[in-house]
Amino acid sequence: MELFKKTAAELSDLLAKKEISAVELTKDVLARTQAVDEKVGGYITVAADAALAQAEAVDAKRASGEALSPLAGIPVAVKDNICTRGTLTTCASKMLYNFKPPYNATVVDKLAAHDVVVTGKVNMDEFAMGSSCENSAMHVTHNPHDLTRVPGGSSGGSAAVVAAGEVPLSLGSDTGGSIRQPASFCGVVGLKPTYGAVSRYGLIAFASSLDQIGPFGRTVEDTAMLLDAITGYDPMHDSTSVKTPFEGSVRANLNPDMKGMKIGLPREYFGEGISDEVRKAVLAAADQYKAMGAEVFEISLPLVEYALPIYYILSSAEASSNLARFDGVKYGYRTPNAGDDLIDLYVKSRSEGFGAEVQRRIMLGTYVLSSGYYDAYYKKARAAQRKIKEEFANAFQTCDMILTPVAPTTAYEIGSKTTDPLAMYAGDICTVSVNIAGLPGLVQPCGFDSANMPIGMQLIGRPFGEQTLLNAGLAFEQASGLRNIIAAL
Amino acid sequence: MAITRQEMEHIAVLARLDIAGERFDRLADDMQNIVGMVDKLQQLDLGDITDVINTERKNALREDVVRQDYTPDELIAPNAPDFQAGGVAVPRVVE
Amino acid sequence: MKYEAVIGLEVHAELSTESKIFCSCSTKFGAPINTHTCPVCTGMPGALPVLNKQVVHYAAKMGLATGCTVNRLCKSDRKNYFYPDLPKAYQISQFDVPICENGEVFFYVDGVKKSCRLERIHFEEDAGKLLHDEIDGTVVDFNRCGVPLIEMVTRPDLRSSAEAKEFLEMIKTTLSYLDISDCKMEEGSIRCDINVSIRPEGSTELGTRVEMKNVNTFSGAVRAIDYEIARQIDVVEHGGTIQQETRRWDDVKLKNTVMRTKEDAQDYRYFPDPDLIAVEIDDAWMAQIESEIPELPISRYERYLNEYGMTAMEARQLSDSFAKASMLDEAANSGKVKPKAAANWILSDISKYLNDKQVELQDTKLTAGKLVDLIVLIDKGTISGAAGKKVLPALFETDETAEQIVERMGLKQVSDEGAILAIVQDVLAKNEKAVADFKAGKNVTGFLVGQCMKASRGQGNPQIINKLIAQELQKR
Repeated sequence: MELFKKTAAELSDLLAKKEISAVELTKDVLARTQAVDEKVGGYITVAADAALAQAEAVDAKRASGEALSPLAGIPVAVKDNICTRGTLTTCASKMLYNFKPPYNATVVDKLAAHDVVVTGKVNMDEFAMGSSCENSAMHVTHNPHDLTRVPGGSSGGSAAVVAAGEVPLSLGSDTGGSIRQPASFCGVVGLKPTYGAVSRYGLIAFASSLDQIGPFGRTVEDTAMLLDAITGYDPMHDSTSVKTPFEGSVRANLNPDMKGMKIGLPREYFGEGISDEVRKAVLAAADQYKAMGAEVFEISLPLVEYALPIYYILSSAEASSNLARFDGVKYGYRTPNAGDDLIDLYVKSRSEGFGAEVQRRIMLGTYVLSSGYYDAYYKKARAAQRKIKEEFANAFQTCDMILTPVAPTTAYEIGSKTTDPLAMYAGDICTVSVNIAGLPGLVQPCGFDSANMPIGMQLIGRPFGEQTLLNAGLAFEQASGLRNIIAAL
Repeated sequence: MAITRQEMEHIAVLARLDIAGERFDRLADDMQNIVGMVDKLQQLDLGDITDVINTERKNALREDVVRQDYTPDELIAPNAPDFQAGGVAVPRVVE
Repeated sequence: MKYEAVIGLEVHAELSTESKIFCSCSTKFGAPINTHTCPVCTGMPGALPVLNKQVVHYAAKMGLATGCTVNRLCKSDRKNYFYPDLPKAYQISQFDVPICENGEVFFYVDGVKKSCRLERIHFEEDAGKLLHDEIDGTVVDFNRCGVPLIEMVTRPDLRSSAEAKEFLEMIKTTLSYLDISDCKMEEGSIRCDINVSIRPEGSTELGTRVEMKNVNTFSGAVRAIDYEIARQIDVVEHGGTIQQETRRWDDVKLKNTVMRTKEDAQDYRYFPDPDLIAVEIDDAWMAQIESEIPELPISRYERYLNEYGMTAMEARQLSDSFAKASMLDEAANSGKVKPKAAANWILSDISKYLNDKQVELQDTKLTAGKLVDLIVLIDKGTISGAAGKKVLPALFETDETAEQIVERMGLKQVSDEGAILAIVQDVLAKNEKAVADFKAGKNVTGFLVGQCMKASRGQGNPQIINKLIAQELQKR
């Protein structure tokens, strides 16, 4: 039985009926990883022993008749910027090449409470800064659908291992599209939850006001399953965490009825710069929704042209402060070349430990916060953020969801954009507004281009509109049959 | 706004990054381009909108209760590049 | 030329919360290195702060007690700089919207009432401690990281080291009245940075100011200010100009040295901490805080001077201690004793006991009620004043009432004239020489009273003894 090809929901049933064991399943996905990860490069750390031990423990619990979560025994991979106690958590940076956190992120504790089998830690752009996974200090991750192409980023590893069938589910994080864009590039489902829905405690911060942990799966139902496990108010650990109306109940309430749903198509997201193939596929999905009884109409979100400046100012400013703690003193990389000088220790540890993109963002962030520039950049970007939120709030007066492309193109060739940071940044145009406004965004496959690379679409919802998004995602999945796509490797 | 060499150097000092020699050349153009990109924001007229205090949510507060879950040996020692006398060690700091 | 000094202070006080400002670690002083730490206060990657409610409460309380406007809405900001005692490489503080603003503190200097305005009070986290003696380099102890502080920033209203000292004393007294800080100088619970400038007397312009750091005691503040004023006058008199700089005070060498000049002024890149959200103090919370503010030291001081007719020293000694002042007021409010009598007890015997035993009044079993009972017993003549002093230690140490103690110790005063008359007659009979002296015109009353007290084992009412001796002597 090739268990790795099954969805998490199917596996959950098989486990519940005791037709398979968690150990059997874990061995199967680890074998798949063994077989393909050399090509894909999704993992930084495969925690095979810990995973098998966890699987055995779950099987024992099940044998004793204990009532278990539907996720019990299901393998899940975790992005390498989420703290796992005692297990390497590197942020794909030389700076944290040896860092083993002394504590678990809240989401990791939640996974444990659901008896999930954590298979290991997956690759990413260094400190989540990047859109192609090429900024990893560890290695490049390849798109399982075409190994010469990028998997997207920054959660490239999380998307790639799911698309490659190495694991049915994974966790990523999304600051400006880092879940959604790789989901799109790899032909899987990825959800960026509403800001505050999932605790950030233990997520190594890139930009605190924008970061959000979210699930990847190969089906909408699987994604909902993992979302149910990780959402939850965390008042003791995360001041920005919020009580959600849907905690733990999204999968149970999935309903693909689209009649009367109002879906807005913002014209600014379909203009110049978006490839014809992407535009066509997303507009075809819009027609599909019409056919299912939804009302689909054009709307306008003109501020999107300012989204990139706002995003790069806010995220870099916060990053420059968040990443200051990596100074060679307490953990991670310390330069061997500092001698007895403290300033030297700081400067060399940081310059040797951080990659080029991280240093660029720290420089930009320091600049926009520095005396004389704060008002023109940071303060103005904060005010503009408020305006973008208002623009979305107004749009949601008339529609329930907004449908857009995820990225201007499908996955591109490895190395094709690495020399020009601005070209790389431009690829974030469709996703960053969602973080600026704190909204949920769902990405799932809606077709393939002429090179047979997956094309994704993005549904943006109201704050805490995750249920509505996943309902619509399920409806499209059922109508299109585009689900559980595993790359042939 | 064009960013001068002097400003770049000042920022690097604040950020504790080394941009000497060829590092500077590599970074200078990128910074100029990135700053040029974010400068587009200056075209946006925001009227008198400001966001001094974000009040969408208020008062995430804890009660004043003590909990001690870690020892320094578990918390600090395993990851410290240089752990001595119960804490991380750094080159002598002259105050 | 005559110069006037212009002085402003930034006073940091540690708040006496149980747990730290952003995590649940203990704030207790003196723990072994790094034992009061967790991922949050050691700046572990991914750890996040959650604000301690009590910190907000205490900071607002201090604001109310110093006449500040308490901002019902405030926020937390990051102050970014690198130092080994600051594990996140930023300090969480408050920048443009502090919790309290625009206050004024009143105090007396040599009998003259002065005031100093407060620009603001904000809350922030303390840094760790660098230990230089343990190893060849420096070891970082994170135990103090995240201990809550309030920083009180004054306007440049102070004009001398004496004013600065009295201001600081008043801040300390106020903190202890509010019970929000341990005020232990030796543990660094109160520290201050001092800004000093000088100008020709009569001028209203502000001179270039110099900031002094590392001042850890109030007497050190006096020395540091006096030194800096003299230094600045010396520079100016010799044709120099004052540089805007930060200097470090050395309280051993009694001089200061340059720490950093204006050129290497820091750029802290303050911005709102995205890990924390706005703090709002609603009406109910505000009312609760207001209800906890007692009558303040300056008000009590003035009342003791004006209404109780105390000397400045007495009034100061009493009003400096919340426990003593409260005991006095409660005793006076009972209406059963004269305020002055209660004050005398507190200032003399009670203070002496506390001093001898090195304890705080609030940590003993003595209450205002017990003190009132004791004074009433003396006033009624049930016991003598001298016996009262014997009762006092038991009032501090046991749960017994004054009456129970008097009973137990057999200190009840004999006021029965018949019984005393017998003693007097007996004493006179045994002291014929004294009686003879009396007749010769000598004053022997003191001697005879002493003999009678002795004979009554101290329990005879001295007034009655006095009266009866006079009466009996007349008869002879």
